[in-house]
Amino acid sequence: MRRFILRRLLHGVAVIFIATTLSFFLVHLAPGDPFSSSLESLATDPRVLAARRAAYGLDRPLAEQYVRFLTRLVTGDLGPSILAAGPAEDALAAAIPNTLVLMGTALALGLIAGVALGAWQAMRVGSRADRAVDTASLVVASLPEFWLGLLLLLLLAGKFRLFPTGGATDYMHDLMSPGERIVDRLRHLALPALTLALLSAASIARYQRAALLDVLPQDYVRTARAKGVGERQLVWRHALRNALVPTIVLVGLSLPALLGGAVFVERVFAWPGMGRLAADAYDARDYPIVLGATLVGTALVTIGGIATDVLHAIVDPRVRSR
Amino acid sequence: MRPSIRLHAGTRLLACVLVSAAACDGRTPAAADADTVGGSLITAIQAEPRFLLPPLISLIDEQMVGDQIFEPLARMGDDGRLDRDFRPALADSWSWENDSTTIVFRLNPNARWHDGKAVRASDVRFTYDLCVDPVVGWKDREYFARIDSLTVRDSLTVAFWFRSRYPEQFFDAATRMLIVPEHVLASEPRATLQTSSFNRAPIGSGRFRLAKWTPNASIELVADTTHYRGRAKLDRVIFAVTPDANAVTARVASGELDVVAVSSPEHFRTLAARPELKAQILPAFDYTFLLFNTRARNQRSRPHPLFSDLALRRALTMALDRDLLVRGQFDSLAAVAIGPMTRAQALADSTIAGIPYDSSGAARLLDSLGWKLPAGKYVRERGAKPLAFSILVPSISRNRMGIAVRIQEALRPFGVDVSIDAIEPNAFFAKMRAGDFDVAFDGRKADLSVSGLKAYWTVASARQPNGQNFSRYENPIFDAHLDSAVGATDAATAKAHAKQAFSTIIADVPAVWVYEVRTVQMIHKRFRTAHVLPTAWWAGLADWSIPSNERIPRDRLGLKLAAR
Amino acid sequence: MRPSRFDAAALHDASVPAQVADGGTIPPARVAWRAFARDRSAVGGVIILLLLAVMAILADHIAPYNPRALLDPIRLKNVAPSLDFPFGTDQFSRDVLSRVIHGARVSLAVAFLSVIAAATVGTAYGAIAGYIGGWIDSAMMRFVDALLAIPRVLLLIAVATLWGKVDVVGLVVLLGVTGWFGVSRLVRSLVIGASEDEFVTAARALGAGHIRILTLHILPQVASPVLVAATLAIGNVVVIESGLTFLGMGVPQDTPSWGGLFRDGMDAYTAHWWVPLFTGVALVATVLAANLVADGLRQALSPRQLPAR
Repeated sequence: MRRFILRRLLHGVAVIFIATTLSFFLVHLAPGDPFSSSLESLATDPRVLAARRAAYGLDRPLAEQYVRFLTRLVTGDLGPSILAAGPAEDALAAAIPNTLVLMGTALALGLIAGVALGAWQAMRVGSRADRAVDTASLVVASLPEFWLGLLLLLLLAGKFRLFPTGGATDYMHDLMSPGERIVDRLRHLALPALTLALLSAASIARYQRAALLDVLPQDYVRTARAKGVGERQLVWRHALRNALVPTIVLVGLSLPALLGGAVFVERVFAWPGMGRLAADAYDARDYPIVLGATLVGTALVTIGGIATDVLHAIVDPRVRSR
Repeated sequence: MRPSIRLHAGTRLLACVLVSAAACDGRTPAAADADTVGGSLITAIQAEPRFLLPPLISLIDEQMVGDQIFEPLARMGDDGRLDRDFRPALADSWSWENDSTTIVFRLNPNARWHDGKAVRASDVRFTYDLCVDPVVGWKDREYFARIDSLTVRDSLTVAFWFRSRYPEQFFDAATRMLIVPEHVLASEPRATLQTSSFNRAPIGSGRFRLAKWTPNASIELVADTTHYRGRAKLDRVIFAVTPDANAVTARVASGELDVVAVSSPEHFRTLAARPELKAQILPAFDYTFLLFNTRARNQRSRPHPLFSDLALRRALTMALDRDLLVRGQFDSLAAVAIGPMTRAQALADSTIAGIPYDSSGAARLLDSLGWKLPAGKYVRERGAKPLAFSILVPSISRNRMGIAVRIQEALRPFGVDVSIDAIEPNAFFAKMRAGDFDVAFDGRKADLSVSGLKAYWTVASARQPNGQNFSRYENPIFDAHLDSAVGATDAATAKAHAKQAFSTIIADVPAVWVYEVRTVQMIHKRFRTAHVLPTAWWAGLADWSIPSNERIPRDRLGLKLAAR
Repeated sequence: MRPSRFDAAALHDASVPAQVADGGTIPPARVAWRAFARDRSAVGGVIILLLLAVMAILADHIAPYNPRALLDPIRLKNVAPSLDFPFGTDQFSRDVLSRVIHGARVSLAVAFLSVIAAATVGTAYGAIAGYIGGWIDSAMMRFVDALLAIPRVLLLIAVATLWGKVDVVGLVVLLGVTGWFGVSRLVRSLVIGASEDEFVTAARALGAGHIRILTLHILPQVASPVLVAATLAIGNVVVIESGLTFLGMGVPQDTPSWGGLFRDGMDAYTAHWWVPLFTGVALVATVLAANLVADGLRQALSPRQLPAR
C-alpha cells in the first residue's frame, strides 16, 4: 500500500511539473510583452522599470529565465499583479480558501444526494418514479452552471429574498455575534454551493444508478436475496459498497470540471474565490494571477485525484498493483 | 409607450425639489446633538481603490475614500464658488499679503493625525513637495504651476507665494492638496510610492479613519471620536466594492446598500419606484469622449497611420448621430457632450458649433480621402490597408460599453470596421499611459476651473513622458487661448478667451465628444445630507446624519470595532 | 467473469475514460441502429439537433431581421415579446429571435468544428500510444494525465489572457487544443483491448503492415465509443463557449452568440428578462438534445441491454 501511495505521489509531482513547464512556454509564446502593463502600472519612473525588468530577468536567455521561473515558483513568487497592485501570490492566497470551501461543500452535498438518489432509483428500477427522476436528472445535468446559478440568484435571492445576492459575507459581518456570523456565512454559501451541488448530484445519481444496476444482478447479491435479506439492506449494505467504487473514481476524474464550473458560479454570485479572481484577472490582462490560478487549480485537482485513488485502493485492493 | 417623456419631466421636477432640499440641509448649522450622532452608511463603489496616498489617487472611488480620511487646508462652500465662501478645514484662518500674491494659512493648533501626532506646517510643506515632484506624478500638478514656492513661517503657519494674481488662487492652494503626514512618509522613496503600505493603511487627519479593508469586498471607515473639529455624526461608512450594476440594484432593494449611483434609465426606474429611497440629481460634471491616438501604437515617435489625419477624424465624427446614440442608451439621463467640458461649468459655452451629423458628407469625405469600398467587400480600403481600428473601453462602464456597441453598428454602413477592446479600469489607464490604443473611450470629471485642461491638451503635457495628454494632441493656438482664459482677471474676459479655446479644440477633433451624464444618487430616506457639492456628492459625508427615530438595526451597533 | 459496462460516464465532461467491455463485443451497426431508433428520447434529441442545425445553416433566410441591426434605438428598445418580435428586442433594439438564430450558427459551428478537431487529434494520439505500447505509451499517457489535470476553463482563461484577443477561429483552435485529452485516453484503452483481438493476431501473423491493421481492424472498433464521446462533447463545448463568452473572453462582442446574448441580457435583466430566458432555453435544449443522443448511442452500442429506461 505504501508503495502505491508513493507511486501516486511521484506521479502527481510529475503532473505538476509538466503543467508548470507548459505555462512557462505559454507565457513566452504569447505575442507582445505581457509584463509591461503590470510593471508600468506600479511605477512610472523608467529607471525603476528597468530595475524591475532586470530583477525578473526578462532580458536573459530563455533557459535562464526558465530556471528563474521555477525557483520563483517554488518560493511562491508569481510576479507583480496589476489587479492586486502588489504580489499576485497574496491575492491568490486570500482567494483559495474560499474556493475550497465552495467546492468542498458542493462536492459533499452532491455526493450524498447523488448516491442516495441513485440508490433510491435502483431499488425502483423501471417504475414511473425512477423514470421521472431519470429524466429530471438528465435535464439538470445538462444545465450550464452559469445559467442555473443565474436562475437561482434571480428567483431565490432576487424575487423571494431568501438568500443574499452575492459575496461571501455581509458588509457588517465583523460586527455580528459569532452565532450570527456563522449563519451569515452559511446563507452566502448556500446558493453557489447549491448550484454546483445540483449539477454534481444529477450526474452522480445517473452514474450511481447505472453502477448499482450493474452490481445487483451479481451472484453474491442473488445469494443474499435468496437468504432473505430485505431489498433495502441489499442495496445499502451489500451492493453499494461495490458500486460506490466507480463513483469514487468518477468524482476524482470530474474535479477539473468542478473547478471549471466554480469559475462561472463564482462570477455569478461574486464569490471571492480563485475562479472569480481568474476571470477578473482576464479583464485586466493580468497573467501572473491567471497562471497562478491555473497552477494552483492543477495542484488541487492532482491532490484530489491522489486522494480518490488512495480511497479506491483501500476499497479495492486489486488496484494497488496497477 | 413613451416612458422617456415621463422620466424627463419627472426628473426635472425631482431635481429642482431635491437640489434645493440638499442646499437647505447644508445651510442649517450642525447642532452637536446627541440625537443625531450615530448610524451607518453603506455605499457602493465600482472599482476597488488601489492607491489611497493622495498624490496617487486617480480613480473616483479612491477620491471618495480619500476625501474622508484626509483633509485639505480649506473646503469649498456649499454654493460651489471658486472665489469665496470657503470653510476652514486644517487651516482655521488665512490672510492675504503682498498685494494678494501671498496667502498665509494658520493651521488649527488642535489638529492631529490619526496616530495622535500633531499636524504641523512641515506636513504641508512635505505634501507640497510630493505633489510638485514629477516622479510622483500627481495628476493635478498643473494647478500648482503658478505657485512659486511655499515657506514655513512657524510650526503652524505656511505661506504660499504666487507668481501672479488670478481669481482661483485660493481655490488651488487651499482645496486641491490633501495633506499627508511627513513623519510617516518621509522615509519612503518617491519613485516607488505605488508599492508603499501607506496605500493600504493610510493615516490622515480627517473625521473618518480606516478601520478595516477587506480586499475586493469593502472598505470600512469609522468616525474619529476625538477629532478637533468634532466627530463625524455617522459612526461608520462602508464602501462596498460592487462592480456589477445589477448587484447594486438588488442590494439597494434588499437594504444592504444605502447610497448608490445610478446611471441607467432602467435601474433608475426600478429604484425610483421604491418608497424608501429618494433621488438626488446633481448637474452633470462627468463627460466622456472617444480619444483618438495621434501617435502610432507602441511607437510614439511616429504618427498614427489613421488618426494623425484631421480630415479622417472629422469624417468619423460626421458619421455619428450622437444624439441618437446618447438617447438610445440613456433616455434623458445624459446629453450629448459639446467638448472637454460640461454645460454646468461656469466657463462652458453651449453656443459653440460642433461638427454636425452629416452622413452623406461623411461618406463623401471618406471617399475623397482615398478610402474606397472595394467591390464585394464591406470595409473601406486605402492602398490595401483596411479602415479598421479598435476602441478601448473600461469594461466596468456598462454605458460606455453600450455606446461602443452602438458606434460599431453606426459605422458599419460607412465601411468602417470597429472592434471593441473591453478591459479592466486599471489596465485601461495603463494602456492609455503607454499609448497602446487606437481610440480610447475615456471619461473625466470636469473641473470647476478651466485650468484643468492644461494637463490633458497642451503642448507641454504632450511632451511629458509621464503626462496625461495620452493622445499627444498639440495645438499652440489652443494653448494660447487657454492661457489667456486662465490668466484673465475678470469673468467676462475669461469667458471670451475660454470660448475661443473651446472652439479651437472642438474644430481640431482630438476626440469625439460623446455624452455628459448627470449624477443620480439614490439615497435611503433616513439620511439627512449635508454639504453636497455638485462635483463631489460625498464631500460632506462627515456631516450626514440619521435622526434617532429613523434608525435601522445596524445603525445602532455603536462604535465598536470589528475583531481583526 | 464480471462484465463491466463500457460507459462514457460524466455527462458534463467527456474527458472521462471508459472501461472497455471485456467479454462482450460491440453490436453490429444494424442492431445498434434499430435499438437507437426505438429509443424515443434519443430520436427526439436527434430531431432537436437537426432542427438547430437547419436553423443555423439557413440563418440568413430564416431570421426575420438582421441580427446586428439596431432597428430603432429610441422607440424599439426593450420591447416585450409580441407578434412583430416573438422573442422581443434587447436594449439596443435588436431582434432577439434573429440573434438567437444566428447565435445558434456561431455556437454550433464552434462546438462542432472544435469537437471534430479534438476527436481527430485525440484518436490519433491515443491510437499511436495504445498500439506502440511500452515506455512510449507510458510517457505519452503521463503527458496526457498532466494535461487532463489542468482545469480546462482556467487553461482557456490563461491563454485568452496572454493572447489578448481571441476571434472565432482562434476560439475553435483553442477549444480543440484543450479538448482532446480525454478522447486520447479512451482511444488508447480501446486500442489496447482491440490489439489483443484474434483478428489482429491473425492479421499480424499473415504479415499485414501496422497501418493496415490499425485502419482496418482496430479503428472501426474505436469509432462508436468516440462517436458517443464526441456527441457528449458537443453539448459540453457549447456550454463552455457560452460561459466564456459570458465572461467576456469568447466570441467577440459584435458576433451574435448565445453567451454574448446572455451577457447583454444580464444588464438590467428586469428591463428585458426575455433575452436571457429565450437564450437559456435554446442553450439548454441543445445540451439536452446532445446528451439524449449520446445516451441513446451509448445504450444502443452497449454490449448488454439495460432494463427498460
